[in-house]
Amino acid sequence: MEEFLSKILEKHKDKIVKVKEIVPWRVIFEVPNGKLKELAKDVFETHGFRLSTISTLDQGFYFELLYHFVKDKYILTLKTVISKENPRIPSLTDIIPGANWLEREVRDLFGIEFEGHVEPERIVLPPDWTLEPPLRKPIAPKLPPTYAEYLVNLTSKAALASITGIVKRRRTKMGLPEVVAPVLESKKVIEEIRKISKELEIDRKAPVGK
Amino acid sequence: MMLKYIFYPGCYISTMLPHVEAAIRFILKKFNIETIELEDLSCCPPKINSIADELFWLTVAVRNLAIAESKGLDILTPCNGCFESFFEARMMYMEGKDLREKVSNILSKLGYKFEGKIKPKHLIEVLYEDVGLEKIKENIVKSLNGLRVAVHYGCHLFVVEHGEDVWKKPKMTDELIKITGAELVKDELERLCCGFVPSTVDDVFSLTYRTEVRLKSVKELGVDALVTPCPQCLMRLEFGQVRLRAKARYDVPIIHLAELLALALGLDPKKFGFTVYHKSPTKLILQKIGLG
Repeated sequence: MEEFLSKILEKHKDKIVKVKEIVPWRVIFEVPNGKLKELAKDVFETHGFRLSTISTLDQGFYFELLYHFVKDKYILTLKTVISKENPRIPSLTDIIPGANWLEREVRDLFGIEFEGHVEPERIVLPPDWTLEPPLRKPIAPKLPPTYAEYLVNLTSKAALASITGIVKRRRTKMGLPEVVAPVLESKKVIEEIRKISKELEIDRKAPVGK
Repeated sequence: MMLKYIFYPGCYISTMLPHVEAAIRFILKKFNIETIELEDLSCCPPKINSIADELFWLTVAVRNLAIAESKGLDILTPCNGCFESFFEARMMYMEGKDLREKVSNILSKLGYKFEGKIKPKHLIEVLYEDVGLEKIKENIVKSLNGLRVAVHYGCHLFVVEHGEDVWKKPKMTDELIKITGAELVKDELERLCCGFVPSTVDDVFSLTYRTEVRLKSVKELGVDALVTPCPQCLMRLEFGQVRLRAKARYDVPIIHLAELLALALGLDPKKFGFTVYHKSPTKLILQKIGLG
């Protein structure tokens, strides 16, 4: 990490819970929701960074908010996590006027409330928008890749386990039936499970629940 | 009383543990437990699928229950995971009006209806409650006296009806082990997860903080075997030892409860691949009881 950024880290090490260095001049400091404003104030006022943009990731059960601060070649991102049940965070608009439109955009698209915002109006959505925030996903966990793949296989193969030729031969040798439900590949079962999947609109590529 | 059930071995026993299935079928035949097998049944599916889509999991599980109910028979399963899936699906379906309506609507389009008249039963319950310890004891031909074993119940064995003792089936497991003549030794870690399900999220964490913790504790007990009624626990604890070999050798024989009972009830271990298909040194068990 470049010395300039290390000094900021040293000064605020009581607030920062995690550090990620992308390249020496590009780092991410993860801070709790309640500590972010104080750190952002120092970064902006004392160290001369400007707030470039705020990006938001909907991770199912929670949001990740990333405040990207830029100065010369340095990019310092302050990252925090807020729950989806209570998506609120203090607004930066009283200390960083440039946060105005950025926060309003996040509010429109994700439904996160920036407490104390100086101008809490719609900015990207029409004023009469009454539907859910358009980029907000259902409250559901982000499935780890291995598990998501398993679930896609489960639904696409109609909830049947496959059985290899070797296993069939082993079973026969032991005096067992060659196949037994649920490893018997019945066309009827496959068809019915697929009908259930279709009825419930299970997306094979994105098995996140409703 | 004639005992008759729908036999549902589950995916893991059928595909990965045919030696366990052979032991189970031997036991069922020994006690004249009649079973039928239905081609229309699908994967249970595992309860953990409900994290991704609760309604899908519930609908598929209740579909299986509806098919069983159409035959008027309870489902007998030796798999902890399948048992939990059917048990909790039945409970949620019967107790949740909204969910029941949604599931019923979908299943009715396929011609199925479930009224809660049948139940899933674990092999442990069938042996303990329906067959009875006395009858099992009468049929023991090979006492496993001298064999010291530990037990790993498996997380999904602890599902019970509201108000019931969560230790109900684990206690049955203990009695079934003891009736063979084997000595049951405990290390107070019987409740620990084997790491099978957490391994889908973080395999290294699961291996280090679950699987190996249990293996280490059981090794220190100095037992001849670890017995489990759960096929996933069996595979995790066996394969876990293989994967940890570079770090430490545990060499703990791991067997299914059905295999322990089958040995005591007289099944020839050679006939069901007792030492061939296991990944742990199960021949040590045979040597200890004079069959190896």
